[in-house]
Amino acid sequence: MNKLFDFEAHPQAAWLTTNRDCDARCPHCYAQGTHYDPADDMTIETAKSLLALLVSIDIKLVTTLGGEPLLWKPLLEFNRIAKSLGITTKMATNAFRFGDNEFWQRYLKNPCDSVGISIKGVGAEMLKRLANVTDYEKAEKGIKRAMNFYKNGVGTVFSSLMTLDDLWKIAETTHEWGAKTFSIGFACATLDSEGCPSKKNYMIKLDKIEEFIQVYERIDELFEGSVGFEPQLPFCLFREDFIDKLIDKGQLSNGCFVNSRGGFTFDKDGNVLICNSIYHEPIGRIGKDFTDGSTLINHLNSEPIKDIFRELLRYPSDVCLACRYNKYCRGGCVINWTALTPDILQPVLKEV
Amino acid sequence: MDKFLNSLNKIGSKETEPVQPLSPTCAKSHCACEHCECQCQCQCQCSPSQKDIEDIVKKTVKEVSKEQKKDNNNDNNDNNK
Repeated sequence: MNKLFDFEAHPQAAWLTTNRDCDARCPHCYAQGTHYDPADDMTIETAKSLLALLVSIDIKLVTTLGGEPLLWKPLLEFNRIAKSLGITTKMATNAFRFGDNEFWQRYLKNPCDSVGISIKGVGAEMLKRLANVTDYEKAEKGIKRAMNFYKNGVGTVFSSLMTLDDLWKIAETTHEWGAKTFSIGFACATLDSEGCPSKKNYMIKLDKIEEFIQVYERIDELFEGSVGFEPQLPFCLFREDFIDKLIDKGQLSNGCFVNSRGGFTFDKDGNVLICNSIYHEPIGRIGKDFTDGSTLINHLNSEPIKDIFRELLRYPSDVCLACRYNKYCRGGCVINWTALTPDILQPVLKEV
Repeated sequence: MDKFLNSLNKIGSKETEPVQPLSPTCAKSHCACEHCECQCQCQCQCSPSQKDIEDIVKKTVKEVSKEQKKDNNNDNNDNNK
């Protein structure tokens, strides 16, 4: 049987939630519910145990997540140890702290192998409004350093707090700074620490989608096609020709490792989460459900865990059964279905 | 977990097949979305090689030292005013 359809875990990568502290305060972020507690750090001992566990199951790709991983004190030691074990390290970051000269010099001695730079805003006013960050000079310096060092592109999250002019300005400015690629993800609904839907969400208003498409097409032109889009929403909320074009151009991402069961996220204590946004209850507890790599894989492939994924990954509605996008779409990010209802679906029906 | 699963408004289908990845072209801008995992699914190895990193580090360290000297000079000039 194809493993993809058996809900079996076949992890190829892991994500470590190293901390919850952050130097930005984006209202749409899942970390809101974690209260950014600086005491919520993973210890280096836990991180080392997890690296050893991952090596034992031949996982050689690890991404650090926060919060903001640049604020995680053991980061540089972690990078050094991971490298000595032959592990490739990635980091999801806002890059602001790279603007600190003293830190930047220390970082360069033990850098991670690649970064995903998340742009929260460009210009002092926008960054303050969208992320409540006041030291714009440092933020810009840090982003430019990271872009120059890693020679990579940038991405941003489009939330209902961001205007389409903001989005265009972010694309235009980062292009001027030398970004070669640009990716856009939509903000998702978030959960509180109890696993209940947060009272507010900052998902795009559905009546803005057509305007978004127009701005996306300008950005696509600006970056000469080196653009990526992760809608996190059902494809049928977009014009069919837009989705088809993006699929043809290889610009559309769908789902994540939750859908493919191609990886897993550890929380700061080393427990396994479904993803870093569903953090209220681990699906695997270290020392109880697993003690090493092989017991972890056994646990992730146990029937109760597979059942959780069967429930998470089912279609939002029977109307999706006839949709020609159904094998790709599945309604987008599962957390959004705490805020959406199936009556929004307008499935693109298969030609008979 | 039940509380979260119960809050999902997936009222319709019991179909349970997971999504098939579209395998988008690597945009070399992974981990940029807030969920961080999503854009990493192609799991390509587009990071620079160790040799590249070492070369960039050497070059960058020189640049940072220059920049710091410049900052220090500016600070001194400000203090002398």
